[in-house]
Amino acid sequence: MNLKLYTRYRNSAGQRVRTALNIKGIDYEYMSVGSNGVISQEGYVRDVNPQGLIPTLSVDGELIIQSTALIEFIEETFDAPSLLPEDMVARARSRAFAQVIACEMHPINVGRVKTHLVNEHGQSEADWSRWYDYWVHHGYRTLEDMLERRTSKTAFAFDEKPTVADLYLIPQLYNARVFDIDVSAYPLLNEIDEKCRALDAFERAMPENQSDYPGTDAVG
Amino acid sequence: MNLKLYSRYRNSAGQRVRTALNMKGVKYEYIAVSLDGGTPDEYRRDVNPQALLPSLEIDGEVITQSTAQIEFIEETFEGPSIFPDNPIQRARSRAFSQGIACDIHPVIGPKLQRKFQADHGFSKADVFAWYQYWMHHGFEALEELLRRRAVQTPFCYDDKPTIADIYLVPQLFNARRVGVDLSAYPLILKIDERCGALPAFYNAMPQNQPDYPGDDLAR
Repeated sequence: MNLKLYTRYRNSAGQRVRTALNIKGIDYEYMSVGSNGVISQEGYVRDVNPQGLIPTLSVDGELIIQSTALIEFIEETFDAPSLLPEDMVARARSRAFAQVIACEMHPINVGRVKTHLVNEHGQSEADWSRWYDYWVHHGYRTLEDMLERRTSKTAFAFDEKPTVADLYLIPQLYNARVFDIDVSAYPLLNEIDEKCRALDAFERAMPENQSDYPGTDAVG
Repeated sequence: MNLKLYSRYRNSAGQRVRTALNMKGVKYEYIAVSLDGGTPDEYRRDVNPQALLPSLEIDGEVITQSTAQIEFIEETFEGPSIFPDNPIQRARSRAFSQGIACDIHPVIGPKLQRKFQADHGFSKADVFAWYQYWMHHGFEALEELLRRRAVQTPFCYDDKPTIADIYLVPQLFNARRVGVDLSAYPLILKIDERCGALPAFYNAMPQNQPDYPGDDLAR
């Protein structure tokens, strides 16, 4: 099976998928999108994804989008190790944790929302900062609380190995560092972040280890 | 297995889960959570500290997030699969549902609407403009995904409804209630009509829940 992943070094949804492929030990071609990439944004919109969002996974030429769909596809297609806990309730909790990030944090604070708020609703940079801080901490508090309420405290979010919850958490916390968000109030999240980043599959998926990484990750 | 679904007649994420349970033919207890006067303290304390709907309680264990609940339902119960068999089609059906769950619903939900009005000086008209913009932004992308299908199946990605359809129908109910013009999305409307004729979808609709107040439009 020939796999190509269209992403960019800092693309948190793409980082989830890179980590999943690494955990499964699957080789893929890294297709960087953008001015320093192997395909320009215009070419990407024209030939790959008319919506322009990343990542897209090409599977023998068939294009699929949305990181959650890509990760479930990877889980169903490739052999162990599994990206989900075995216990049914823990599986659901791991997926739910991932969805809090995918649905309640990431989409509210992305660039296209900022652009629309500033251009069409007259919001200032300060208004945007207030908005961003409110929702990002709202989300992190929810995640920390989900971990606090676990009946058995596992080494990773919901298992003794990393599962989808961890795959979504690490890119989100990378963003927090880039955007200078104080996450010291979330000790359980930080503990898991540290454990995951010590693993090769996570390390190799980090922005600074991608071929299009420009050397420094200034906020932009 | 004892299942309780904490939901509300007009809770589009809950409507997805109701539809999935109906398709599988799984019986569950519908627990209506009234949001008049804010989220009830006991729901927040005993069920879901985030106070969001729906919550699914399985023999006393609570799980949140409709996508996690629906994957759980698919993996746990027999009955017709709510996914296509073909792996690429499965991925496309899931992607379509996530286009609603991640790219539309969270951006226009009531939580954000309240925040805009309380802290960002939005008028009701501003909220409506915001809602319309993101709804169309998302629906244009969904219609385009359907247009690009190699095979124009009667439902989104199969000859039967799958997870894509389960997410689509509640979002359309929501758009109609708010008064969004949907005429630019003929493929979406056709699928909505087919789904609405099926008992699993019909029985999950807001107007068929026990807590439906009778007249929804003024609310």
